Amino acid sequence: MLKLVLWSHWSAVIPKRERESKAERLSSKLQFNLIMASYIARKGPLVFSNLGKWAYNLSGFNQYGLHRDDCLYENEDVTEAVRRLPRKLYDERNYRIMRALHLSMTKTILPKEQWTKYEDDVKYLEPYLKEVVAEREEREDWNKNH
Amino acid sequence: MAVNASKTSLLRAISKRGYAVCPRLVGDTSPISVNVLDNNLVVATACATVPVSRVSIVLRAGSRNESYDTLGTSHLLRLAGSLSTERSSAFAIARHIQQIGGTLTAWGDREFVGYTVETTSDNVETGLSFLQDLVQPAFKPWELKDNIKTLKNQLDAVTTEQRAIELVHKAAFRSGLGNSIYIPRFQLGQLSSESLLHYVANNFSAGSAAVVGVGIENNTLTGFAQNLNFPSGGSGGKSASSNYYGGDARKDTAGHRAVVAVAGEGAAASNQKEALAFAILKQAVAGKPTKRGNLSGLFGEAANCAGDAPVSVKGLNASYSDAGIFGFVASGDSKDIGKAVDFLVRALKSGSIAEKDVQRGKAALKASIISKYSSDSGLIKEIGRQAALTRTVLEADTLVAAIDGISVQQVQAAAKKVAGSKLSVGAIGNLSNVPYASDLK
Repeated sequence: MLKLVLWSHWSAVIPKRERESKAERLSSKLQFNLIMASYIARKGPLVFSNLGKWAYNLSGFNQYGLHRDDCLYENEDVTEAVRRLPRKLYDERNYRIMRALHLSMTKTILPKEQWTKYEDDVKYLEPYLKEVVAEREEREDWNKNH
Repeated sequence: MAVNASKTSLLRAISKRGYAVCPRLVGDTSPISVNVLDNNLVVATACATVPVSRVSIVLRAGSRNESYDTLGTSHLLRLAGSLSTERSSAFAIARHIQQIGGTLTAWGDREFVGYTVETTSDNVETGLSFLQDLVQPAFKPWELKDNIKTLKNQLDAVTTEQRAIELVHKAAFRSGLGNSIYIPRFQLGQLSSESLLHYVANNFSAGSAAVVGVGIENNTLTGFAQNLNFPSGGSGGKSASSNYYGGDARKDTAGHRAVVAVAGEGAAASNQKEALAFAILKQAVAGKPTKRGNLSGLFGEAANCAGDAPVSVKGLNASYSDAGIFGFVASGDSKDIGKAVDFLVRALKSGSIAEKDVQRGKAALKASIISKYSSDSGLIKEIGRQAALTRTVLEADTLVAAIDGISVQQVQAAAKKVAGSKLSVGAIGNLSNVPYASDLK
């Protein structure tokens, strides 16, 4: 599902393909997939456990329809990672946050069937955040050694 | 006391050899060794005059391979260096090369995109390790967005003379070779990551690329070239054939100056004799001026005949793999330019060239070729283009002999060819007095 979301965004302008064989098209698509594959988000917890599920439900943000990555403290890394999100993911995040603010303001929560489930929580920001952190560490490392 | 031992010439030669692989005398042309790998990749190397190694990867991914929807892709390929690749970030590329005092340049024209890394000979490994990453760009969407301002800045720096040359190509070839080497403004931010990777996958292939070096041993470079990972396994997308059409491409802008490029059909590089004849013709009719002086040859005389008004003229000769154009670029005040263009076109259409002019053209062309071959930076570009285009590299002597072999008749035939062809006019500026192609007789 999420893969489809990524696809539809980044393939907005698809070039005309006249002068090429099917094999070439396949190989270029494959390469694009390989690069994009690293941005496909993890769904659900890394290791499923009942304790984790209990803690997840206790935290309460899921009752506002939020995902874990919506609640990250927006430090420099997170801000940069959010900036890099594909448009659709970025809009969905903003929608969830605005809805949560509205619910909080009216002192209500979503009906139970709309709560984010422990198994359905999408870590959509994780791949972008990891890359941002790696880039920062690379910079810091360089500045330390040179 | 300074160590005198290092001043004796023998020891100095040895210590210098430690840095440089094979030093040659300044101004001397170097023997070039060429070998073709199993995957058809051409590797060419030559000796350097100073202990600096230059290595280029030249890929046939220039603007002529763009389709209408992907106009400007090749310009984005020249941004490399500020874009991350699959293996290394833009930060790493820039800092590591800076740290060793090297430079990385990207260049390109209608046929090629090339990446050149220049380092001192003892640091060549660092340079090469980042050079090889550049054939696998990643085109991260946010980096493309962040670089729009860089592109805008580059577009603003394009001279009107260059714009006129782009326009005359558009008039002459319409698509393919008619594509500008600069991204059109409407494409800024419109090229997606996927379409760029698609272009790379189609055009970055070993079978149409070349790896060339000056100041690096052939064995070392061959080893490097063998390990290069090209995105496309095939022989590369076939370039669209470029028919010559002719006509007008004009852009009116504010001001009182006009730059006009007029050209007829020239020679393709695949036809070496004709290409050389046109190169001689260019030197003969529009040779280099003496400093602050007038252009010599037929074009210079024509511009002088048009009056005292200051109009500057340059010859224009471009040979691509399967087509070429030949003509001139004139720039001046809009009220003077009409007359000057009329006189210059008459010279272009005369189709005749005197024997003494041909001799002068030959001498000038030989001098310019030898000077290109005798500097390291000129040599790397020259052998890069030749290797990618013709899959081999000619030595300076061979090229000079080939120029000597061109007869006066062949140059005259070239002049007749361009005189008989339909003209293309590319003009930019205040075009009130600039004639249309159909008016030029």
